[in-house]
Amino acid sequence: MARHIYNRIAVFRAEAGISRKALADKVGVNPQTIGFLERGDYNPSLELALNIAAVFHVPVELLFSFRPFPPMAQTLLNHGDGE
Amino acid sequence: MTYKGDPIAEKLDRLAEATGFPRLQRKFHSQPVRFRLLPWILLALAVGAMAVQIARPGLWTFWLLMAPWFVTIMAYGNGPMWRSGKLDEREAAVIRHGHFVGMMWALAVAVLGSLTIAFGQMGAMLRLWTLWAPRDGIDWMMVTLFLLVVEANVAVLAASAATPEPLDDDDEE
Repeated sequence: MARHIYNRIAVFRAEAGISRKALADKVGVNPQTIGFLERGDYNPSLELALNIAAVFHVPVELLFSFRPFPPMAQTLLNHGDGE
Repeated sequence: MTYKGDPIAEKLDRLAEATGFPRLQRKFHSQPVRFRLLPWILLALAVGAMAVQIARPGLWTFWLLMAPWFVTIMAYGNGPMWRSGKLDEREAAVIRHGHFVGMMWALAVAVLGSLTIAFGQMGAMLRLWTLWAPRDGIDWMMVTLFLLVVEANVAVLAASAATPEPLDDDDEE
């Protein structure tokens, strides 16, 4: 059984202001697949994960993780504490 | 969308659109139907048709199996096992998974069936019992069609189970 892979594609997509369809077209998949990825119903191949990361210009580990990502508010709060 | 160019083709296309079937087909292709019950019913009908063929062989029993086969083709074409256009990695994986499970079940049925027939033939030679075995072309056609129905329906069931629930906001552009 494959391990669940968490991702924050939806957050990055919202920030970039692009639709599922636009992202799907950029990485060459069906828009449904982007939806299923965001919902955690599908684990992407390494190629797809790298392609999505390339669209947002971030390293792949910033988008995908074996551990759940902390909420964005928590991340911002921690970042603020560190400054 | 109707075809434009040839007037006869345009008329035929408009006629087809008027039936509503192409619209239904487009809907199914954009969102494949996840079949749960229909493949089980078709498998049961196929088993029934084989049972009738064994009990009362004849050409008419072939049509008993052809009926579920035709419905199987329709279910196959509108489910997750058939997508028009280029497949992405998820769709291809679902189809591969469906075919793998379907093939394994068809293989299991073929192996068990062959062993049973071989066992029956041995029993008949020793005058211990008689079991059905395919004799003529119709029998072999039935066996082949039965295995195809098993493969296709199990594949549709497996692919349907592997396809996630449709997204609520699937129409998002």
